[in-house]
Amino acid sequence: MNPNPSKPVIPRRSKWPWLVLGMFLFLGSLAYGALSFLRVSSDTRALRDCLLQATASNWSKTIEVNVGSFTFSLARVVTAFIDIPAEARTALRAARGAEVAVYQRPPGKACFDMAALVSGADEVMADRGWERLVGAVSGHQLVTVYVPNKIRSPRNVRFCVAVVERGQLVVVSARSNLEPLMDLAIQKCSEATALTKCDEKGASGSLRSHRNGRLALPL
Amino acid sequence: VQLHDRAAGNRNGRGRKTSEANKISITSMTFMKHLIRNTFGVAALAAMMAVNAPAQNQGPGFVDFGKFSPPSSGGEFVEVHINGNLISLVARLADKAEPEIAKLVRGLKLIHVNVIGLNDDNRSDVLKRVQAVRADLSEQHWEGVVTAQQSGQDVNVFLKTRGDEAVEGLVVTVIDGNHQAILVNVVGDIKPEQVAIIGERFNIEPLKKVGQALGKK
Repeated sequence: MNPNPSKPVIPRRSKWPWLVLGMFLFLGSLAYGALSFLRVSSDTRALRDCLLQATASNWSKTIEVNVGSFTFSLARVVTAFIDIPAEARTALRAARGAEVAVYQRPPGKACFDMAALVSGADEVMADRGWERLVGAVSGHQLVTVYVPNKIRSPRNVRFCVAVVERGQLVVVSARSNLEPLMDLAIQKCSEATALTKCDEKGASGSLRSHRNGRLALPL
Repeated sequence: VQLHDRAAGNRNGRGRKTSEANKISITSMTFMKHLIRNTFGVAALAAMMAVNAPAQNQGPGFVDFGKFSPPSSGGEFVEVHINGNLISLVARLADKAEPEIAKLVRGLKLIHVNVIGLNDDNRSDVLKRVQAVRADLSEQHWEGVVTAQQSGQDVNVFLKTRGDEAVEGLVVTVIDGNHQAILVNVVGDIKPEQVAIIGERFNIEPLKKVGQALGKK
């Protein structure tokens, strides 16, 4: 017999641990986001390191920035309310991410072995599944463009560009959706063609009227 | 191990059964040796074929110019290599807006361009290689459609055609005086009428002419 049956006591849970955890997670993700702005991807890093080592100069970092898809999405949202040129809007719509690494060295007359630079970069990138699309050397400037061996979708195409000259080394890597860019290119091309055809018609028309003995000067 | 066992068996004089077993083991050993040798042979052959495969996979219009390197002293050098992967991507992109262009682009398999600045270090080597490419193409029955030499420029255009149906390969070699050498190879399955259509569509006079010329052939 239990004359005074008492209800089981449920311990009150404190909300503080959850709040602290949430705060930590928020701050952690904020810190990670901030750090990710300053850290380039492994492919870009590999190309950069290879070129820095091959040139064996005392390069000093000027800037390294990594702008991801979140930032570009944010920019797209913001620019939706701003009047900007259509081409700029298209470019922004196409951009998915961009990384830039700029290094500089004190002015001097260093001559880099371009053949060694190109072959070294080719080797490093080939190991990571990239191939060289363009390699151009002019004087003491080198420009190389790499693309992945396998491009699965035109909506997410990556490319990596490296520019080396006497005083500067720049590595740019970008991810882009080629569809809007291609649409823009075709549109511009069609406009230019239509314009040329109009010009030709105009020119032949004026020629004909000249032949007919009429004055055909543009007003 | 088997040889060692056999020798040990003989020494111990185990009798007929042991010698028969040894015979079998020797036969199987010889078989294994042959098998290993043949396997290695086949593997080596496969490896050699794999090395040569890229050249053959590019199609009959592919020409291997060899490897050119940028001059160490810093001259002019351009190399462009657009493979089928990228070309099909462009074709896919152009499919909606410009199906005719997409069709032409889809027919391409490779575009390779080499521009090599000539200087005292590489001039003789590069010129020799260009002449060798021309000689090879003539030997392999490529059709020389353009041969022009004017004011220091030496231009040759070769075509590999599949009957009247299509152009499988195009090679352009240019020696621009003592300044630069240019080598271009376009590989694909290009229909003359498509070239003409593109020329008309974008009002590109040289393409119109090429299309007409190819159509007449």
